[in-house]
Order: sequence, then structure tokens, then C-alpha cells
Amino acid sequence: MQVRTNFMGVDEVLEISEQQLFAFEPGLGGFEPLRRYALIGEADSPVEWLQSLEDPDVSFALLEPFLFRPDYVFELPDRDAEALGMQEPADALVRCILTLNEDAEKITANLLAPLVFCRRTHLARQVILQDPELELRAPVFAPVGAVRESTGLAASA
Amino acid sequence: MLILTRKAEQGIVIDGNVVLRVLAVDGERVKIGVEAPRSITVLREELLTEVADANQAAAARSGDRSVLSARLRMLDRNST
Repeated sequence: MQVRTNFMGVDEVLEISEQQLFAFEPGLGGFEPLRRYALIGEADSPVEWLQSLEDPDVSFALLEPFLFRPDYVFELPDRDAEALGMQEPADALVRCILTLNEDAEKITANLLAPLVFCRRTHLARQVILQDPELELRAPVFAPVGAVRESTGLAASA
Repeated sequence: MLILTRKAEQGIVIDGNVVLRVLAVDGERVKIGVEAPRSITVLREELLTEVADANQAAAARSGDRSVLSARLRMLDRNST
């Protein structure tokens, strides 16, 4: 099927497969009426895009949190696992929403409320974790000169 | 909206399985106990608002992809 998107420019059309479609029940906070999305990867970068099928203007940049925060861990509440139809850990795909910025050091990821996709059922939801240690706006790139291993990946010009 | 007046230790039962109970009142602060099945998500309202605000701030704009592609390629290099 085809999906209209504005994330690459104005009004592009992308060809996507059924495997890329996910339903958010409930919808994302702030975007409650939108339920159907396509998960779109890129050939040359780890970023993925979540494109609303119902509104071409709504898309989100996603990143696998373990890429920049290898120690990221959370327990998926049973109610969410059940609602998503998870049967085994391999069903889960975890991504964080990025807030983009032209200044790389200001790019942040939402670790407090990750998106969990179930590959088995193609249901997805944003899970709000009740862990005060997790940040709503975690820097993805460490400042230049910072130690990569502990604080993320070094940003350079 | 249903509005009820309750005193300390009095409760409200919702749909037979969720109980909200006023535990204590101290000036502007009210301590509320929630008893609910594990299938029910209970969150502070402001947390939901914060996440919704963060989602709206994160929604990508046209051109974000090109602005970012170089940065993200760099991330890829660093992680491999």
C-alpha cells in the first residue's frame, strides 16, 4: 500500500508493506485520534520513522534506545504485555521518540515513555514508566570531549 | 462531570472494581488511596500531560530528515 508523508519534503508517497503497519491502542498522547502508523526504516542510518497513515503531517523520528544507552532497562507491565498480545520477549520491538534539533547536543530521546511494538500482533503503545530515574528528554549525543561509554555517543562537527 | 463530597476515610467505587479513598486531608494536600486491578493503569494526570507535550514537541517537521541525516549516519558509525 501507499502512504503519504511530509517528513521527506512536501507530500511524498512511499510504498510500504503490511509488515510495517502498527495500530496504537490507545493513540499516542497528544495525538489520540491517530491510531494507524507505518514504521519506516532508513538504509543508511539507525533512525526509523513512525508515519501516521491518517495524517501525512504527523511523523516521529525513532531510535533504538540501546544504541546510545546500552544499560537502558525497564519492565513492561503485565497489563501492557497482555494488551499488546506479547507471548515472548522476542515479540517486542522497543523504540524511543526523538526530539530533533539542528544542534546535535540538543537532540533528546524519551526514555520515560518508550514505544513498544509487538511484532506478533502489530499492536503498539507508548508505555509510561513509573521510574523516576528515566528521563523524558535524555540527550542522545554527549557533549564533545565527554566519555562516550558513560554518557552516550560523542557529537562532533 | 460527577462531583461528590467525601470526608477523610470515605471512598468512591467505580465500576465495582476501582476504589478511590480519601486517606487524609491536610490543607491543600489530599492523600488518596487507589485500589484497582492490575489491568488498570493509574497515573498522575500531569505525567500524561508531560508525555503528550513531549510527543507534540517531538513530532517531526518537513525537512527534519535532511537536517538530521548526517548526524544519524555518524551515530551509526559510532555504534558499529
